[in-house]
Amino acid sequence: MEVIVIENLVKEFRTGFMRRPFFALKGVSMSVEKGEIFGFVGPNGAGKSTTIKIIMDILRPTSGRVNVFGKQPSDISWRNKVGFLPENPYFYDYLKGRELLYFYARLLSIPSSFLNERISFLLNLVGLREAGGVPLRNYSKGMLQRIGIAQALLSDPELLILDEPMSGLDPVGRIEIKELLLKLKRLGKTIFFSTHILSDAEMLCDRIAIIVKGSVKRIGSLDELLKQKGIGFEIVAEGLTDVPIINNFRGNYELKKEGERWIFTTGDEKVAEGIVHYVISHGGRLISFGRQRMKLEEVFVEVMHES
Amino acid sequence: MSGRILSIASITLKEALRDRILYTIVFFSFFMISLSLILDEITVGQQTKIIKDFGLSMMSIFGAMLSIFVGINLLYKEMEKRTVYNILSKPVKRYEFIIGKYAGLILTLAIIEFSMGVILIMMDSFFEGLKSISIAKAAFFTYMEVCIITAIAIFFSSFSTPILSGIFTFSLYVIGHFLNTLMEISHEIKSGFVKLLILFFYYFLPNLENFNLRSVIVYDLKISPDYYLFVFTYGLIYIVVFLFSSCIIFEKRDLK
Repeated sequence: MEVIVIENLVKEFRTGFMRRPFFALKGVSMSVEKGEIFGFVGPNGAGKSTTIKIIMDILRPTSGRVNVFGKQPSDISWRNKVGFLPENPYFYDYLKGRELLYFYARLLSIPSSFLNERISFLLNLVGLREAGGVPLRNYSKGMLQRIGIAQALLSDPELLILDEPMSGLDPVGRIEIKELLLKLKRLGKTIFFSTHILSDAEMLCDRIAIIVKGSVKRIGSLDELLKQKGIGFEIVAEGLTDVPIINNFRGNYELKKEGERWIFTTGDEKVAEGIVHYVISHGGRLISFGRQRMKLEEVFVEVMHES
Repeated sequence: MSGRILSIASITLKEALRDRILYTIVFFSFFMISLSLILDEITVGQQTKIIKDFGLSMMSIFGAMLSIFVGINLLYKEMEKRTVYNILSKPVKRYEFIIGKYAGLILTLAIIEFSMGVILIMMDSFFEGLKSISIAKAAFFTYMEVCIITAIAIFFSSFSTPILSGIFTFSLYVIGHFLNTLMEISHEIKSGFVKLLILFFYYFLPNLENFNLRSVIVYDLKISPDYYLFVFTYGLIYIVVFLFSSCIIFEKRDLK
């Protein structure tokens, strides 16, 4: 079931004195399935935040269609089902953490009998139990990010839309938030988040869309994205006296030498088996045999080059 | 719906009460009202007239200044600091946000104008005894004028920068107080265009002098209750029109 559907989304801004047109989004299409963690990856200025702002009805699209739970962004009936964290969130800094959550909870019409318990639970969850009574002006950037995540979770939403949720967090904080996102996924929540940190996307996401200059260049599961580039096999061997030449598979593998070790790479399983056979039958020692996998970073760099 | 507007109004009130400009202006206005005591001393035979006239004028001027200063920044600050994103990601309509912000600000102004009014009535009662219900009436309509100016400030800030909104709102405030004078001098103006412009201003812009009941109070003139009703309805119409227009503009715009 699709939770978010985006079709051919275009957003044009007019900039400067001459009101020159600038297309922040040039026909973005994608969908987010229920229960998945969907990563929206791209460099700064690619259109990630613009897309998210259109989903949240902060910006209005020039053309195209967005549906959230089958409804238009301007329809507020789905807002109770969605938790939203904007990029670099800023809150009323004269409020204390607990007061801020109380304010948002009232906007969400959360029953007051249930409120104190819910707020304490969330402050605890994001590691701000001690800081609930501290004014937000004294919060660090990481603490603001955490209180931002807490307010996004207030209504126990089915869908979380998070714009750069790990930004501003220290390494421990990032690990904690990643663990929290995985825990929320296990609870059946759908998570749509943007990031320019590829390792975060690689670790967390079921599916990823790569956006560059307002267009989605790749979309799919991590395996699908990496397969497009090819998943291969890597065989490491040593003890081979001559340069190994496997006549049957010539041209179907690559070879390089690192110290005493020969490293074979190939995309074909049969060739890989042949190489292993060759190493053993020629008195070599098989050090390792494994799948060689590209990193998302490499796919990303390739997409950037194409663009 | 009303719960959400109330929540936004209460947070706006909380924020406005923390604004330093507000305290500067409030302090200065209390100082100026107190100054009327000195003026009263040096004005032989006029006694409490000066207190009433000067005090009510100060309530009007400082109330207007406050509503312009705070009103023009009300929406801008929310967008600049992106606090509006979090509010509108909750089940809050954009018009509820505007009305909530407006309600919060006029509530703040009500507290301030009420305090000024109480001081004025206390000072007047000191000389005349407590028969100052007429001051309360004048203070109420001064407050209504301030509510209109706030609606104008919000209207302009729904589509322009604080500086421009400030200039536009202040201009309407000044023009609004000189509409009667403009109409009088229009008979002597030859240019058809200027005459037309003055007529347009006179019939379409809020005539803020309607809310000036100072001379009625100072000279103890009798006016019919219908007049109060007329001024109240007149003010209410302008508030509704400006707020309604603000909501429509804010509904359609991108909140960058």
